[in-house]
Amino acid sequence: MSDYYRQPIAVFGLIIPIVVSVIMAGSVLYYTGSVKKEYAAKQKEYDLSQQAKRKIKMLRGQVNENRESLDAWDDLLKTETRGTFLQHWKDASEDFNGKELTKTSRSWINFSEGIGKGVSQPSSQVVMSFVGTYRAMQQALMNLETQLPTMQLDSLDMSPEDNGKGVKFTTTYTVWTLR
Amino acid sequence: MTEHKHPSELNPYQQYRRSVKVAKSTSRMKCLAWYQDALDLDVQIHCYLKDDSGVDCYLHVKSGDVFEKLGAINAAQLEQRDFLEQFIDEALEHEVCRSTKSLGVIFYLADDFSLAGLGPEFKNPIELPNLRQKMCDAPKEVLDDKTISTDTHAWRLFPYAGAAAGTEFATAVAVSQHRSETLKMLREIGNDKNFPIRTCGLSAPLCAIGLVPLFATANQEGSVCLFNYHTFTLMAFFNGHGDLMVLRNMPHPNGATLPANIGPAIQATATAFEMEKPDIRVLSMVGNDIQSLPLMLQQSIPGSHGYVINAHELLENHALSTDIPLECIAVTREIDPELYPLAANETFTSLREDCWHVQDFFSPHQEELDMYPDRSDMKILRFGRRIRKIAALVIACVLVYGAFNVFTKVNSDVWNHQPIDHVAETKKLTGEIARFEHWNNLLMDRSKGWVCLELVSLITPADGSVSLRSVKHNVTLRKDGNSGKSGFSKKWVIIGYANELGIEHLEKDCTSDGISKLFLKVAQSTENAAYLPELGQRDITVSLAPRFNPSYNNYSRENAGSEFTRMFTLTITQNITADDVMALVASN
Repeated sequence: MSDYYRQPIAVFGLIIPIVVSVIMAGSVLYYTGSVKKEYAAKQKEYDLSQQAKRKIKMLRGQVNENRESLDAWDDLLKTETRGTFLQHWKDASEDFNGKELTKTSRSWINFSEGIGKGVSQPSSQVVMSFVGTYRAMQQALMNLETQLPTMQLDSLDMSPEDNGKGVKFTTTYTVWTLR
Repeated sequence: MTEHKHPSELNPYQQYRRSVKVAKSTSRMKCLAWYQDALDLDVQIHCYLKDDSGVDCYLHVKSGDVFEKLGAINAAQLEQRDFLEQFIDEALEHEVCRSTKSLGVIFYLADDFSLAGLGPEFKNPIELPNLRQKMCDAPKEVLDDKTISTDTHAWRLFPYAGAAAGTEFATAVAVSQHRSETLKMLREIGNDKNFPIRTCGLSAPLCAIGLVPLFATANQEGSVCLFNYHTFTLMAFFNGHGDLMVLRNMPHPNGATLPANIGPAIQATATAFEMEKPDIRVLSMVGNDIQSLPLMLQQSIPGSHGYVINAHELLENHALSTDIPLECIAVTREIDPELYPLAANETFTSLREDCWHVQDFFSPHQEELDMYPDRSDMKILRFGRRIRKIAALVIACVLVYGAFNVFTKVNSDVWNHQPIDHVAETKKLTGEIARFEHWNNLLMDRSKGWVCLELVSLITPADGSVSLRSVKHNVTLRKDGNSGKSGFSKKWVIIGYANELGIEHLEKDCTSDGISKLFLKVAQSTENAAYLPELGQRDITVSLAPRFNPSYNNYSRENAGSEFTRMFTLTITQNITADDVMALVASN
């Protein structure tokens, strides 16, 4: 029996190949692991990006959906002045004669003491008095409020006219403005 | 260049390379025969060296129980490698062994035999196993005579199982190393041909001792067996149980077939062992005429019985041809103790189990063994190969796995994705939406004059039983905590006149349920959600206070309402909390 070969065979034929294999496999697994780790980070970023894309798509859809209304409101807010308000009132009361509806007074203040008082959005307040019939008044207010959605009713007082022939209306509106 | 160097001269890597080369270029890794004893192989050539003239050769195939004479090789031919190679090739062409993968060559050394005593320090039979190994490795340390040559002779131990206590328990047996080179040459031929040739050099007289149970029985008086060879006669003395007590060797005078004065020699030894009338059995191992020997011995030892053993009969009893050497029976046949009772005693049991009689005198030197890796080395090498294959497979799998993983990941959309800053666009869009929600909230139909008038008109019955004197409606914001939203309250204070029917109407409609129904009706007819009563964040309270009309005048109707007997004050309050959809968001 010879002992010369056993150790070299064990070292070169067994231990070194195993160690080299382990190192190689370990290196590959380590590299794969680092790629996986990097991929996971990129995946997270990608997911966030996709999520953001989906969110933007959704937001765009929502903005597009709102576009028409918002444009209309922007136009309204940009173009409406006290002068145009009078014109709207005239248009709203055109269908009625003097007996049915007559505006008796109108006054503006540059701030709101009503609904607009606790709100950051600038507003003004308009007080208008009318004499007329109930239905004419209701019809006129409907026309006016439909054309000017910026108007929010703060108060409405209604009482018979002194001569008993009509009804006196006093309305106070908060009107939302841009400034 | 390193092929013929001893491994001690090689560095570890060269030693490994040699192992690999041996494994690749020879059958030593696959063929077990390289590591087996010659006697264990299926095909064997038995060579009987009876004198200096040469050897008689016999082919033996164990599996087919074939024993056939091949011919003779003379002394000169035994030293010629080419002849030996040719002889083996021809022998292996024999029909019965054509497909063999290995060959055992067994030399029976009958040309020389000598005995020597052990040193006086070796008195304990328990030491036998250690002494046996020591006798192979360093015979001088064991022998009594330190001047004996260990270069020209090979020494082995042989035990005396029947030795009395205090007497010699073993002896040293020597044979000439003269033919060891022939066996080495045969092994080299095998190495060169990548064909396992295993060799064995047996002492023919020791093999002959193994034959004793075939022709002898135990005798109370003891017995002596004489094995007659060409140049010497071996005397074996057995006690009453048939156990070997001692061996004596007597050389023959020049040209004689018998030793001189053998009778007195036997008598002297027999007397020493107190054997008065031993049985004397004589066996001619090489065909010498010894018929007169028993008579001669009986004259020297009166009362003893002499027998000449018939060698031919022994061979025929074991189905062997009469030209086969007798020793072959001891080497190739199992001696059944049931048929031959003497085989069951201590001496022959020990021979059988420990193979004392078939010891290899010409076993290869350590230097020769060192030239090739042994079986366990080959096993480690093979195991290493398997491990490397598995490791290669594992690495391949890991590489494929890694490459697939890396490839799929590197080529994916995720890997190549270039991050885009969505924040600005998101902020812009969110701002747009917030602006929409801001205005949508502000512009909600939470308080409209025409809807308010619709409610008042629905409260007033159409049959004229109720007449309104005044209506006051106002809306006030209600801040709830820090929610950032504001609820609001709408209040209607309606003062009017009514007759009894009108009061009945009012009392019927101006309950909580009645007012809620009226609000629902207003909400449905005007599509104004602010009047929906059933939402959880809203409540409506109502109070009706009827009373007599102080200005009632049944006769004069100058004053408004004087025709109605009753007056009333109706107060309706609708509260909308900050949690309601109608709540104002953009509060300070």
